[in-house]
Amino acid sequence: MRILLVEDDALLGDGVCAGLRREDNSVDWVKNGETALSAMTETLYDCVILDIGLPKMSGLDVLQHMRSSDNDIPVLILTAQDDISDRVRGLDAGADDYLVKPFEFSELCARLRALTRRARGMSSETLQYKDIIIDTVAHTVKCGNQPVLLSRREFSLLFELITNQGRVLSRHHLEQKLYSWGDEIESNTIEVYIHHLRKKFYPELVTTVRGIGYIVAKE
Amino acid sequence: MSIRSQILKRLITASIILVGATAWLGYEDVRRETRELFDAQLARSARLILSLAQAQNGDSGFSRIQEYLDENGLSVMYIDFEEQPDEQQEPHGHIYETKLAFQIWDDEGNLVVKSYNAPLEPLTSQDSGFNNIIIDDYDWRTFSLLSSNQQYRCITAERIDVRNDLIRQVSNDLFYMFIILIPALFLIMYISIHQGLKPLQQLASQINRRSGDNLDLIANQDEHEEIATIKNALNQLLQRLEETLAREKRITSDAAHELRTPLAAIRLHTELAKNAKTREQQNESLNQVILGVDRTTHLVEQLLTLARLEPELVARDFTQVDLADLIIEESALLSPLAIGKNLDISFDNTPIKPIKGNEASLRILLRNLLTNAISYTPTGGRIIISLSEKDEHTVLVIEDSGPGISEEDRERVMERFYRLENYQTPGCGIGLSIVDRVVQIHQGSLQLCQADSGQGLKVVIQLKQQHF
Repeated sequence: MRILLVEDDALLGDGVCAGLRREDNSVDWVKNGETALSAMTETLYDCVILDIGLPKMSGLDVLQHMRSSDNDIPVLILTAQDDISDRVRGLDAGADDYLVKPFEFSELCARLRALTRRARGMSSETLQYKDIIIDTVAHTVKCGNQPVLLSRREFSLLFELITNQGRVLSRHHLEQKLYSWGDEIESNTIEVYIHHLRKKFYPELVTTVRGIGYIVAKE
Repeated sequence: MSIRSQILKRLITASIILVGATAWLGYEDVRRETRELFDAQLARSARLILSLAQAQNGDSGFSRIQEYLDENGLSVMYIDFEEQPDEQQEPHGHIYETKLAFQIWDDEGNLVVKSYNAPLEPLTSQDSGFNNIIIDDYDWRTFSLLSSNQQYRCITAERIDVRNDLIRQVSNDLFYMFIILIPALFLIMYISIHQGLKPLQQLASQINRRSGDNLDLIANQDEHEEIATIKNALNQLLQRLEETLAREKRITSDAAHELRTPLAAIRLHTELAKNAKTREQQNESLNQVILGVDRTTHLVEQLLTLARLEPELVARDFTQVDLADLIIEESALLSPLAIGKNLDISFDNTPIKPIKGNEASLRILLRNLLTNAISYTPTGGRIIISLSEKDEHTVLVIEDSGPGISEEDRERVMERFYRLENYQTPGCGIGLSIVDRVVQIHQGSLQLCQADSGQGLKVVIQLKQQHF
């Protein structure tokens, strides 16, 4: 998953970043609202973790800005306020979920998964495409009951293609989902990972649409 | 002791003393005046008798008077005062007549004329003027007068108890009047005081009926000036109390929320350490945990400092403070930090008058400002501290060569928990609130502006120089 973290606290931001990266996510971390808004216009995120107490532009302002410009990326707000009214205000402003500090990291991960699942119209933690079963929690993949070992990026690529089955995904789109800022992207990496996927499953899994991108046929 | 009984006690004591003194003075006056009056009468009678007798041509005149006296049964020699003369027999007399007497003596010592109750011996040996004598256990007042030709001496006498009777009568009347008057006076006093203090009692019950959390102002439409004054004072107190409580509440709530973020960070890094896949990852997370705990500790310490800076408490402890000494001491304490960053700290120590302030809180102010300056100034930078005097104020200026604070942020940095964006230093956003509070307690002013060099922050604090 490509996640945008908006948190001004250095220590907490560092922790969330490190934790989410260990869970095979690509995380971009910004420390204020303005940067968050401009990041969202450039990159396709699967979800946004938004702190409410930001300097100058508050998290709620960012949220309202996002929703008024028809940006419907799932947003989870982090708040130090535990009053009902604060949560209601956050949800009313367009947040999809909230978490009160301090929180358990596994809960944050579960809520993020639930958010993206809902956004993709999935109903469970496991995803099945033909005989391929993807466990989004354990990050394991089985093909015809045989476990298949995938790298972090291979897993993300497979997940992205299957959740968007029937749609052609451009190389740029896939790069955005696979890498966070600062990651070195070699010119042919996506081709390399597609090649790995075809080899680990079966060649017909991914079809190349020349000059446009890649597609996984609808089941 | 209640005000009512106190006032009553004082009024009663005062009125008893005053009434007593008035009665005593009145009594003395009556006594003196009565004596004067009776003495005058005694003298006049003597003169009258003497001149009447002389007008009757010497001895023959006296014998005619004596005859007249005898004829009218007035020459009875007894002096029996208990026996009252018969009113029927003496239709024109008065009971006091038996207590009056007179004698006329000639120059050879013969008793010429006397009233019936006068003795045969001279009433007094004195030739002229007043005298007091005792006859048969009774006190008499006498007056002797020599006739103009020195031939006759007239002595008039009067029993002293006649005048004492009158004095007693008058003073008795006065006494009875006071007996009735004083209780009436006390009753009036008691009722007036009771009525007068009623609004106070009403105010007390009005306040008593309140619950502990009701800090609403007391309705003040009282026509009594004194009660209105009390209510005004109470309302002012209530207002201050409400402000203090609101402030405390806000600090507690702000602090609790502000603690959540570092706690979240600590918890997160602890979880990451627990679930770390490599030793390296674990160490990294544990270091972050320690950092988080240190930051939280600092936050808690700063919050406690802020809470302890109660204006009332601090202001009670004002002494003469030499700011220059404090600056030197506090800079010395922080110098290891400054040396570590190779900072050039200078203090222009021109002697100035000491100020009146709270030393402990001024140290906190300096420590916060210097710590800020040291942590925000990049390695190799400089910090200039100066003290000067201007219009009865001591002006403290601390200037650094750090990033400074943009104009729009200058207002907000005073707010609690406001931190500048992209800060590199571990602050908790309370330092300047603390500084601001200390300045307020000392009724000074705090100003943030751009350093004179154009780069960095300049903090200007003006503290009033109070005279001792």
